Amino acid sequence: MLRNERNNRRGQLLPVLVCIIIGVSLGILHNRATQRGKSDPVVSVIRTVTRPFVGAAVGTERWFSRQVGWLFHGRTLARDNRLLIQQNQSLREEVARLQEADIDAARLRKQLGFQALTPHGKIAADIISMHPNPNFETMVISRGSRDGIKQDSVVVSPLGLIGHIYDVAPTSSSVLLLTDSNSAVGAMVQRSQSRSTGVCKGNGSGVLSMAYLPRDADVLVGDQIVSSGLGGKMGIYPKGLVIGVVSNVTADPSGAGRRVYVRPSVDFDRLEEVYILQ
Amino acid sequence: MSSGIRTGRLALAVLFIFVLHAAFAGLLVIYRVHPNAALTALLISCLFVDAATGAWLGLMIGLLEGSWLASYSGSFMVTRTIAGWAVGALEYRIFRDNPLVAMGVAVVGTLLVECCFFLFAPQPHILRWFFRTIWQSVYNGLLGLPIYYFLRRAAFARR
Repeated sequence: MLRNERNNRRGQLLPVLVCIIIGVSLGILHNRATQRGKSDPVVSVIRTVTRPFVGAAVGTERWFSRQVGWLFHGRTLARDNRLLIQQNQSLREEVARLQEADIDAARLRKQLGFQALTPHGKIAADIISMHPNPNFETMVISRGSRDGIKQDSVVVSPLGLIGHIYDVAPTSSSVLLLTDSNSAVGAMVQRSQSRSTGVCKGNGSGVLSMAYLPRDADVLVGDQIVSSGLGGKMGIYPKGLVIGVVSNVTADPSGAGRRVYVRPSVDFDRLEEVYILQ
Repeated sequence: MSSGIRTGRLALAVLFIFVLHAAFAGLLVIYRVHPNAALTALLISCLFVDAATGAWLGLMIGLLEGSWLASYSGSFMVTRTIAGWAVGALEYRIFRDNPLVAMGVAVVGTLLVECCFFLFAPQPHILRWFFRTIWQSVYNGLLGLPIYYFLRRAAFARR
């Protein structure tokens, strides 16, 4: 009887050992593939197989909210419409002014012998999964290597910068959001009197912190922060993309400088569609 | 119903919850607290199976979670495997088939799994991570109640 019990315990332990060995082996393969800058084939296959089911669930929810959403948003629609008309009017004036400035800038760049700035091509993508794991600020979008998406491509929305692609499967890609603890982007103050540069880092909360600013940097609450286009891996972000607005500036207790907090211009919880820069 | 069919139905039900979690996790955020329905489903489903089956279910969920995050996949698989095995190995003398036990397992299990994950893959901002994990485990505990009834129905429903 004692032997039976012992055999039974062994029978329960063996599968967990096999599972752990499988897990460790696949983990090593994944890390090797990532170090080589390639996507892990096992991860790609699993995600490609399960993607249609997740996509169908998201599609059903969006279709349903389109059908009955007006029931819940009816009251606010008229107000939103009025505000959008006003906004549209002021944006038209702004566009006309900026088109003139663009022509002037292009002419001046040519006279000074600077390289012409070419606008980026964009690929639109739907969000299939937002925060697939609660401890990481990531999302999965509906475009992959079949659509010509590459690792480290930059992802934006009309409101500003979202993050970059860190893994590409055939029909989907994983995006690391600006707010993730492992995310960093070269940044600068857009105000023409300042132009101070630093690095915007995510910390897992909804707010970014701007580090490595010069001690005498001129930064004020309300300043718009844009990507600087500087710095190694952080330099994958082209210059001039809107990151957010300075929400708080406090003195660092160590006396090393100041702590600058930036509220992202994008509301990550309400995103539905994004664009990948080519 | 044979235990093989019951396990198969449970695995499908856990897979279904994973799909819903991947699709709608962003909609379930309350005050920046994110639930992990997939982990909750794994922990509760393992109450209905033995340790060996729990380990296989854990490996399946770890593989899915790791694939959708596309990062730390090995850590996900190992921690989920250990969690599934540990819940499956709980003494049968504890009355497992109870919603309160399921909610308790979801809370304590989430805390232990996330601590174990942290050991395998340490993250910056430890205090923020710690508080987030505590709130996440509470949320998972609450989410555990509907998931428990769903999985129980999936495992034991007769035609």
